Amino acid sequence: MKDHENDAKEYLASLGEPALPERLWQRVEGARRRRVRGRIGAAMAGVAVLALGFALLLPGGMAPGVDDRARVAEGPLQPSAPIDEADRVRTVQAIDRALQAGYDRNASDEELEPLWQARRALVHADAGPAASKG
Amino acid sequence: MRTSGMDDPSRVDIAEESRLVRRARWGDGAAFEALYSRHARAVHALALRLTGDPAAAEDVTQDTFMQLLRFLGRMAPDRPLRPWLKRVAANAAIDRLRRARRTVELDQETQWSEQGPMPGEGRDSLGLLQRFPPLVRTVVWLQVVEGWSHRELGERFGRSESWSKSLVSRTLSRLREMIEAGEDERS
Repeated sequence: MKDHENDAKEYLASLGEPALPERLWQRVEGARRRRVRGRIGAAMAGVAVLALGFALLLPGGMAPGVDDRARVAEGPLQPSAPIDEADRVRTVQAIDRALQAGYDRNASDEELEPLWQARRALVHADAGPAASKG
Repeated sequence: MRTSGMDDPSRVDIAEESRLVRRARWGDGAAFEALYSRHARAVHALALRLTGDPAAAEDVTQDTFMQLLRFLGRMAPDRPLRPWLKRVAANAAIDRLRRARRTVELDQETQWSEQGPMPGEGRDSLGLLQRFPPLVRTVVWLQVVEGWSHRELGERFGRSESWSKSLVSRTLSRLREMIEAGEDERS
């Protein structure tokens, strides 16, 4: 190693670290919040579409105003076609995550109601043969 | 917002950092803020030294932490974040430099066009480096301080390994002349 290189390297190493601008965190946090809001919106829309697809497999569909609890009292629902249990569980879990994210960002009850409706419909629906596994 | 003073990577508790990454992945804002507190100062310092521009350094730092958000799910739990963050910041600064270079010939940019001191905040952290063109400053800092190889620097700038070696050697030699001449203007 040449001496002049060592001297110069020592000089570079001795340079102080600049202060972090206080305002920078506000910028970063603002960008993070905007990104999170965008992702939650997209996820909720995606989950709602997915849940709607499942709900349409249920007898009677998911007509507005129909109380799922009343339906359950009538007896077990029989889907018009078998629903894959693993898909149903994954969808319910995805809805749960979307609900949690919605509550985390203080979403209104009106915003979350479609997700709750879809969740109730899925939870109360009978699955195919795989459902008996638990 | 305060940094935690954990700028020495060896002091960073990997297990704790891994927990923060997992929490941040699930949208925990406090965990993300803790990661920012650990690393933002080092990332910003690197960005400022490479860009020489306080506004650009802030942009690069913000972009780097947004990249972190995007890649949180793919982070290896046993690897420290600091090297990854600095690599992202350096690449972002180089990309800016390459975009700015489109109108300037490379050979012109590596000539010693001794420049005036950088205005505003951060000038002390650059010292005599601020007298060198941005491209020279970037190559020298990444090689000497950040440990990038001449080969990867040559590749990154579309040049050869020997181009990087020659540039760094000439710059360090000139830097020493300036130091000996007492030209360091740090207060």
